[in-house]
Amino acid sequence: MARHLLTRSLLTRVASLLVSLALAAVVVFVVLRLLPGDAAGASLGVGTTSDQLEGLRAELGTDQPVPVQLGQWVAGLVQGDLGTSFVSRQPVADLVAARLPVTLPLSLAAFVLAVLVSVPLGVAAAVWRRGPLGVVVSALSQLGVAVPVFWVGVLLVLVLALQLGWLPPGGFPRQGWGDPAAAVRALVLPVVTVAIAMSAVMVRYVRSATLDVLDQDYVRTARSLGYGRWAALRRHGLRNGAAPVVAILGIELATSLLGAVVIENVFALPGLGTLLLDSVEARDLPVVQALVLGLTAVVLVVNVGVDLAQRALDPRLRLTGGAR
Amino acid sequence: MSLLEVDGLTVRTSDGRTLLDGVTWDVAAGARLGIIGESGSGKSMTALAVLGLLPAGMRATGHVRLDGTDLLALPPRRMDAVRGAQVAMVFQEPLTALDPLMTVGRQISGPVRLHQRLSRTAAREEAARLLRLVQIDDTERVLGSYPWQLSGGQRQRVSLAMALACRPRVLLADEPTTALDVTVQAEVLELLDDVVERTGLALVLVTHDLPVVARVAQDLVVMRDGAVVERTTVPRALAGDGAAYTRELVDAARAVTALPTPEAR
Repeated sequence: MARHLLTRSLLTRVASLLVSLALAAVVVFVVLRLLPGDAAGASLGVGTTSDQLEGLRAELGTDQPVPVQLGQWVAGLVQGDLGTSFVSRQPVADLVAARLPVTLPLSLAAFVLAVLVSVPLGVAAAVWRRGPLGVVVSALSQLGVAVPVFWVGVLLVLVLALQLGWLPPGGFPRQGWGDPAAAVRALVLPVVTVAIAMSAVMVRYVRSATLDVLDQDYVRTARSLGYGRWAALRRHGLRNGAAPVVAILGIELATSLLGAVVIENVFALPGLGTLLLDSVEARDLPVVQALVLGLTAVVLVVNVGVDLAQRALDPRLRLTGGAR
Repeated sequence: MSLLEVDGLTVRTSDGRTLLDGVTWDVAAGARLGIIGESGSGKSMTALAVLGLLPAGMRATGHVRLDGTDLLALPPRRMDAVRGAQVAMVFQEPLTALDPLMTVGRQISGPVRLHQRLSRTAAREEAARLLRLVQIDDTERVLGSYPWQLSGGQRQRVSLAMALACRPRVLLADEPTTALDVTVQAEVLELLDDVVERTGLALVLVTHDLPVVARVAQDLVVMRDGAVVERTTVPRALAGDGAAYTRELVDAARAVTALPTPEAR
């Protein structure tokens, strides 16, 4: 019976995921058409005749009514065709694939680093909440949350790259991962920047989840049975604290991708973020809408993953079909 | 000879308020001591102070001697070894005192393995034996259940089994029946009685409920406002001998429930 409920809830989640994605596709498409300016105007520049404009629009298909364009785009998506760039005339999928080797390692490494930093720090800050460590961690996290991520990046570049010269201030090797050492060096500062911003948020959630567990009666029960402070926390905290933390990790995994998009522009990295900004500027709508829809899809999929992880962690969700 | 001796136990908060003031009592092996008082009288705090589990920001002074060893003077690691194995506790609300995400089997066999070097299977068998000791018959089902899948009475039995897991010499029971319905209360009290009979441990029963104490305990400590009003016995208290406050408690309890008369005991 438990298995049956699990399968059914998984199917429900996947169905609602598809509905959300379809809605997101329509919204993204329509909103982008409402923006002023178009690709034809942007690429031809000032002083072109309306004939030239009309010609290019016909070529790009932007002269068609919006519902027709939407239908063509969705039909392509269903077949796995993300569309063709207005500007470079290359398939959007190829443009994205070329940028993933920068953005994907950047955001994943930042996420992993942030988890490795914030989980132990958050737990320690909770256990020693009145001690110096607890106070320092809380203060640093406040600071980290208040400061914008690009400012942290600029600061790191100033000190570590420009003054100390330890790392490159920006850019990515021309050969990409063909020169692994240079590629890694190019990503260190961006990764640290995004990880700092994420850790500042995550450490607070880990701390409060740990405090919550520490206050629970069952931790006191464990202490009354002879478990030491840390042993009691390990015995009961891992699972009980994991459920709320997993939810945050999911949000932060999605955030790490968005953080990467922002920070790529600070470090002049040829990733999805720079692709997105360039495409917006050129009104290269197929690229923009594919990227926005892709980011939306990642967020939605991560949410489903979080939900499943929480079910795996908490038998109350698993065995009672969600109702307590 | 008393097994556990609480001598001048005083608890103060960090801002200097006195919560417990010179609490003194003792209990012998195999004896049953009741501590009674209204909520806020400091009876639960006394139990937590004995175990060294006071909330942060509170400090205990005085002496808590177990077989002559002063527990308040023990370093934290040695105190960890005392908890569970020498002195254990059953709490008021079994639903929150048990971990909702851990099966009963793991919750009981954990402390068993902590204090006795047993294999996983041997600890599981010990957990089943403990469940039978607290009169749970379908041990296999209960061992595989989560606390929220059990009834209130079963949960409190499981808590008791956990507390007994390391064969403690003193069992502190803090309002162990308050969260249960009346019929289940009676069963759990009978069970406590039976466990003391069989294991010979010293029971300290903390409660606001005079009929509960009257059923189980012989010796009685009456507390009010963080201090001991008097040390007496249940029959003497029921007979109306002793402090005026104790008589008030007895009269108040008589007004709502039928208390046994001293002769009937």
